[in-house]
Amino acid sequence: MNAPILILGATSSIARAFALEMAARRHDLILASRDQRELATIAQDIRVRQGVHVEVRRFDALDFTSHSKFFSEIGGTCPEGLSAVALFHGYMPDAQADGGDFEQARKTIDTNFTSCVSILELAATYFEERNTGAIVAVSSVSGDRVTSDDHTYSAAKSALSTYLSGLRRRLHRKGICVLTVKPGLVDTAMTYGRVKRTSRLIAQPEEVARAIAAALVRRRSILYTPWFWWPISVVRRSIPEFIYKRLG
Amino acid sequence: MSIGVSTPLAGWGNYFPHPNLLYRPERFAHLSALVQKPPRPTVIARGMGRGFGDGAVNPDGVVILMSRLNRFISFDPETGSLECEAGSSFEEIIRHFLPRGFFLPAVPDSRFVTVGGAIAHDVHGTNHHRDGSFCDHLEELKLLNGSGTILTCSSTQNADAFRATISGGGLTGIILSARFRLMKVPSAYLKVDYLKVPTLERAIERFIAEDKHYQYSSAWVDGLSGGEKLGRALLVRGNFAQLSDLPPRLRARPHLVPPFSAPPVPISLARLAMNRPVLSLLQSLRLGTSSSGTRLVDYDRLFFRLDSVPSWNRVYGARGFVRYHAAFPLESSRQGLTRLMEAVTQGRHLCTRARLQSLGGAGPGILSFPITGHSLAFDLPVRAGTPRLLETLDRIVLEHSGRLSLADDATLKREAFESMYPAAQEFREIRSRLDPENRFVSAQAARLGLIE
Repeated sequence: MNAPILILGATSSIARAFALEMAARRHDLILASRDQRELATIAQDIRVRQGVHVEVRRFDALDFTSHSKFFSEIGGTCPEGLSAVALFHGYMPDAQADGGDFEQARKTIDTNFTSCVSILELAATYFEERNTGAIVAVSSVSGDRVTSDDHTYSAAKSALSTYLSGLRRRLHRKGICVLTVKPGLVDTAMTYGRVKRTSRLIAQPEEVARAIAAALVRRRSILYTPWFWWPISVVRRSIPEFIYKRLG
Repeated sequence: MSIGVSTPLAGWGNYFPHPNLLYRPERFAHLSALVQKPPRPTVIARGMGRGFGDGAVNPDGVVILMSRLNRFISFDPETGSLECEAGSSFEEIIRHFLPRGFFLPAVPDSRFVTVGGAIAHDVHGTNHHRDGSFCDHLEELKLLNGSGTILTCSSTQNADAFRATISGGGLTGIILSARFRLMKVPSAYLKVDYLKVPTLERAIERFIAEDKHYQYSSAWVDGLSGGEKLGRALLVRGNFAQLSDLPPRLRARPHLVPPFSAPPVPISLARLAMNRPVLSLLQSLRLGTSSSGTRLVDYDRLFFRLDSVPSWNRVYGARGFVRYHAAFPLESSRQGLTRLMEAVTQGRHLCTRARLQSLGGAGPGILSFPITGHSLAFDLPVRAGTPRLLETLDRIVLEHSGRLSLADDATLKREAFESMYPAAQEFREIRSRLDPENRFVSAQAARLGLIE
């Protein structure tokens, strides 16, 4: 059995698919999230399907002060050490709530960025002490260039991508891999009702999860998934702002 | 909360799609909220949408897609008892448990059905004469009602709700999860005997005489030829292969089958074949040249042949098709089936995928389809004359004390339904006790008058 992976925000559908994928690759898992009922259901599902050892923990991304206790408890119960920390939690406000609602904007920034910094700093220190490990965090292609009408979300994801880039430089010398995942459109609760179901661009969470697992094994730095979002993103970034501002 | 999607929706037969409002909860909390305070007054659960009729369509209300609530809950390798959420599909159950030596106790002709859908329609397979329907293997289910309470139902606990939910079309509440027995199988292959017979009558005689030797038994019937070729058929009957039946190269991993994929024929091209001359030729090739004999066939090819063609339902064109699935009691089955075939082959109708089988007795649900007798199912692409033909067919079924399957039905009239299912009133009474606010409604339920 491979060393356990800590999965934060484990009740999201991409996280669940990733957990199942890693369990199929014989990794034990520690799943963390706020929704305890859902977490227990998902953990039990993985045990029945793959027969690996799965633990669950309560984790509230927005309760920053609890993070340090949360992480040290996990270190305590896991003597052989974690092999990776994978961060999947995210938040996109309802479209109608966008525009002028600062509380929504702050929640978006805090969930998608501030909380990530808080918990990943702890993870980075943990792995630095052991000179081994990997960090996976899910950003978004909309962090490369604002894509939706939800620019606070894009800004937070952009900040996360930049932060991960810095973290990668810091941890590279210690042989610790930092993988930034930039999914395009994925068929999840977040996009349901916002994106046309028949769109050919939309990917299933299982495809994305497989790509993340493969990238983690190859210790890559940045993963666009599905792959065609890389050229799309390159083109998008190259559009001059005086044109881009008219495209909204 | 999540956002809904408005889209035209019908059953798999694509028969008269209507705009529907769809939601797809990924957590129990979302599902529960949606059921208790739906944005429109009524809801109906939908699985993978392979039901041919309008049982999972609700144009005036909300359709709840259950596909993401598909977690397995427990499995006992000793007894084969599996508990899982209702959105779990037969496809993933087979994928996970066939390698461990277990198979579903009853499968329809697609593995793209959910456990919830299989219960709501009490599905059966070609092993019905021996093993009964899916719900004959159901031990317990959990039902979420309109007020958000969860009812545990089994044959001993809340037995009325259990009997009404089985084959109840999702009208008693949302089926959350279910526990049922998988069966142990020696391999993933079946030893199948093929036999050509010249008439329906002969096929039925063979069924009656020899079904006891076969776990799976059915016949492909030529639905196009009339006259003296009427009802010629190919019997397909088999049992799971023992290790000793397998060639040595398969014995090491008897439960693994390489995935089967059909040659990629574009749907638009296949559509060109949907006419009488081409289909007749194909039927004749199949029934004329395929030799009788015994062959080793994997479960995928035998049970789920069409699953390898995504959206094969679109081959029938924009007007869609109806699946006609009728059962007759033993006493009248020969006559009823012959008259049905005569009516279908007389006009210029295209009757495809006609399949005959034995049924081994009443199912465990109040509205369960099976009876003791024989059933025939076929597809009819919708043409100008189709409604009139369906009326004729319905009359034949009624005259021979037959009934139609609610899982496939898209056109049945209320009066005909009442005579086919005399227990409908009992169902209505139990249903209205379980759902006094009439929160759970489908287009089919409204058409058949199942909601008072």
